[in-house]
Amino acid sequence: MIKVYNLKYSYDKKKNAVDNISFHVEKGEVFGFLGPNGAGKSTTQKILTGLLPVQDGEAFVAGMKVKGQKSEFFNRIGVSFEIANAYDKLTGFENLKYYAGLFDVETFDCLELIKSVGLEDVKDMRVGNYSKGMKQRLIFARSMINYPEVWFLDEPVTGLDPSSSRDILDIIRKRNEEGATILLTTHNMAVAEELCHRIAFMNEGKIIAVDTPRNLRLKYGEKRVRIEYGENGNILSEDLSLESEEGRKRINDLVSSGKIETIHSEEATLEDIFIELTGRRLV
Amino acid sequence: MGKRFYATLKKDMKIAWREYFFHVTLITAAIFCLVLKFIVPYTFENISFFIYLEEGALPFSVEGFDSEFTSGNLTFVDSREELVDRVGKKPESYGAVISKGDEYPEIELVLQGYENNKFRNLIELQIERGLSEFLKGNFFYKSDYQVKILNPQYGSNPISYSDIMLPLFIVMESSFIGYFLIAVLLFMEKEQRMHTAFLVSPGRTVEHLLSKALVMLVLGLISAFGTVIFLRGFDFNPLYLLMFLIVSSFFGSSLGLLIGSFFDSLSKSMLWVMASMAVLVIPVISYVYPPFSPLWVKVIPTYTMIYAAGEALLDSGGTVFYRYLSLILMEGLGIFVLAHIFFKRALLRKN
Ligand SMILES: Nc1ncnc2c1ncn2[C@@H]1O[C@H](COP(=O)(O)OP(=O)(O)OP(=O)(O)O)[C@@H](O)[C@H]1O
Ligand SMILES: [Mg+2]
Repeated sequence: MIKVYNLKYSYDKKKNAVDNISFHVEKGEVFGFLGPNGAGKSTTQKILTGLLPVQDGEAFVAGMKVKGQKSEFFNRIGVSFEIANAYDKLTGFENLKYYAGLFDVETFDCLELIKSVGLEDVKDMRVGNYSKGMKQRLIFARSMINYPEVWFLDEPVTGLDPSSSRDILDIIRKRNEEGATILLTTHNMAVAEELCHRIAFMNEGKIIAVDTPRNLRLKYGEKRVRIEYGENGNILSEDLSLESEEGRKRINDLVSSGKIETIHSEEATLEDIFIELTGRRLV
Repeated sequence: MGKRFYATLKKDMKIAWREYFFHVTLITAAIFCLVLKFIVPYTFENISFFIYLEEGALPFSVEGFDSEFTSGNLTFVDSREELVDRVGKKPESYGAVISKGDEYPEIELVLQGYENNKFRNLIELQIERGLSEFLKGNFFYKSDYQVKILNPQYGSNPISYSDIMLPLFIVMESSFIGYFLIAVLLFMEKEQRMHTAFLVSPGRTVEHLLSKALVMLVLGLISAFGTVIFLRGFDFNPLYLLMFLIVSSFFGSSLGLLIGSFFDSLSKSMLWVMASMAVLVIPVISYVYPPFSPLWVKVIPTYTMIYAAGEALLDSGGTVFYRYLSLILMEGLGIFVLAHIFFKRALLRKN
C-alpha cells in the first residue's frame, strides 16, 4: 500500500530532515514510526500525504504516485496531524460536517463519529473552547471520516488521558481489522508494541531498523535477569546478562551462595533497543 | 461542485456570521444612511450661484449694480467665460447667464452635470428668488431657458447629495467589504492551520476561494440594497445594481484573496492593504472634483467602478454600463487567477 524509495527531504538545503529512506507497508498492516524528536517522522508523513513536495526519490501510496495527487488520492487517505487543527469558530460537529462535505466517497455519520471519540457532550461547543485533548480527538475522528484505505496518524494519542487513549487505540485496531492500512507515528512504546505489525526506528532522517516488535527484541535485546539477594541483612539487586561469560558466572555464584530472594527475567523494551541502536532516548 | 461547494459555503457563512461580519456590514451601512439622511441634509446654504448679467439684459437699470459683487450666495461675474470657469472650479456651484432676449431676458443655466430635472427646477427657483429679492420683484424671464452642462459624463439623472454619495458608498463599502474581510478569513485559516487539513482533502481550491467571495457578495448586497432602498426608496433598477455588485464585489474579493494568499498574517499585509486602499480611493477625488481626472487616475479600477455604480443607479441601461462592467470583470478575473496561483503556492508553504 505504501512504497517508498530513496526519499530525501531538506527544508533548508543544508541538512536532510529525511535522508534517503526506503520502506514498504503491506495492505492491512499497521506500520509504526518511532524515533526521537526531530528524527523526520512527521516530515515523512507530510511528504507521503502531499503536504510537502517530493524533492528526491519516489513514493507510492494506494497504488498512486505521490506527486501532484488528484482528488481520487485524497478520497482514499486519511490524515491526522501532530498539531490539532480545526475551525475555532465552528462546533466540533460542524467541523466534521464541513469536512465530510468535501469528499466524493461515502463518509461516516458525523454524530456516530463524534460519539465514538467521546465528544458527544461537547459536540455543539465551539472548538475554540475545546481542551487540547478534545481537539486532538476531534481531528482524529475527522481523519477517518472517509473510511480511509490508507490512514496516516501522527502521534494520535500523545497527550491524551489513559481512557481516551484506550478508546482511540481500540478504534485504530478496529479500523485495521476492517482492512485499513495504517502508518502510525508515536513515542509511546506500549502503543507501538500493542498495535504495530512492524516498526521502523528513525533517527536523524534515517531508518535504522525495520522489523516486527518481537524480532527487534530478539535481534537487538540482550537477555537479562535481575536477581535480588540478601547480604548482611540488606537486600541487594543486580542486573545480569545471560549472554556474557561474566554474567553467567556471576549468576552461578549467586545461585550457589543460596542467598537469592527473587529472580526476574528482564525483557528488553523497544526503548532499550532504541537507545542501544542510537545512543539516544526516544522521547 | 454541488455538495462540496454547499458544505464550504455553509462553513464560510457561519464563520462570517460568528466573526460579526454581517453585524459590521449592517452597522456601517446604517451609519452611512443616518449621516446622509439626518446629519448632512442637502441645503442650498453651502452652494454658490454665479450670475452673469449681460448689459441691457434687463429692461430697466439696476441701481447700485456693479459687476463683481456678492449678495447672499449670489456672485455676479464679468463675463460668460468667467462664469463657466468658476462654476467648473467649484463642484457645489451653479451659474446662470442672463442675456438680452427679444421680449424678456433669456436665461442659460450652467450646471455640473449630475443634477436631474427636479433639481434643476430647484436651482432655477433659487436663482429666480435670489434675483427677484435683489431686483425687488422686477424680474421676468422666458421660461424655456438654455442649459449648459459642464460634465456630461454624469448623465442627467441623479438627485440630491445622497445620490452623489451613493455610488461612492456602493463602491468603497459594498464592493470592497470583501477586500479586507476575505483576507481576514484566509489569515484565520492559516492561523488555525486549516490549510493543511484542506490540502489532504479532495476539496478544490477554486471552490474554497469562490465560496468566500460569495459570502462577500452577500454582505455587499445587504449593504448596497439596504442603503439604496433606505435613501431612495424603490426608484432604481435592482437588476442593474445586482449585476454591478456581482462584478464589483468579485473584483474586491479577488484583490483580498490575493493579499490573503500572498501574506502569512494580517500584520504582515497591513502596509499593503493601506497603500492599495489609498490608491483605490484616489478616483473618489475625481468623482467629487471632476476637473481632477488625469489618465493615471482613470486607469485605477475604482474610477470605472464609481461611474458604473452611478450608471447602475441611474437605470440608464446604456452600453456604457455594460462596457464598464466587462472591464471590471476582466480585471477581477485576472486578479482572481493570480490569487488562485498564489493561494495554491501558499498552501504548500509552512507545512
Ligand atoms: N517547517 C519546517 N521548516 C524547517 N525545518 C523543519 C520544519 N519542520 C521540521 N523541520 C526540521 O526537520 C527535522 C525533522 O522534523 P520532524 O518534524 O519531521 O521530526 P519528528 O520526527 O516528527 O519529530 P517529533 O517527534 O518532535 O514530532 C527537524 O530537524 C526539524 O527541525
Ligand atoms: Mg513529529
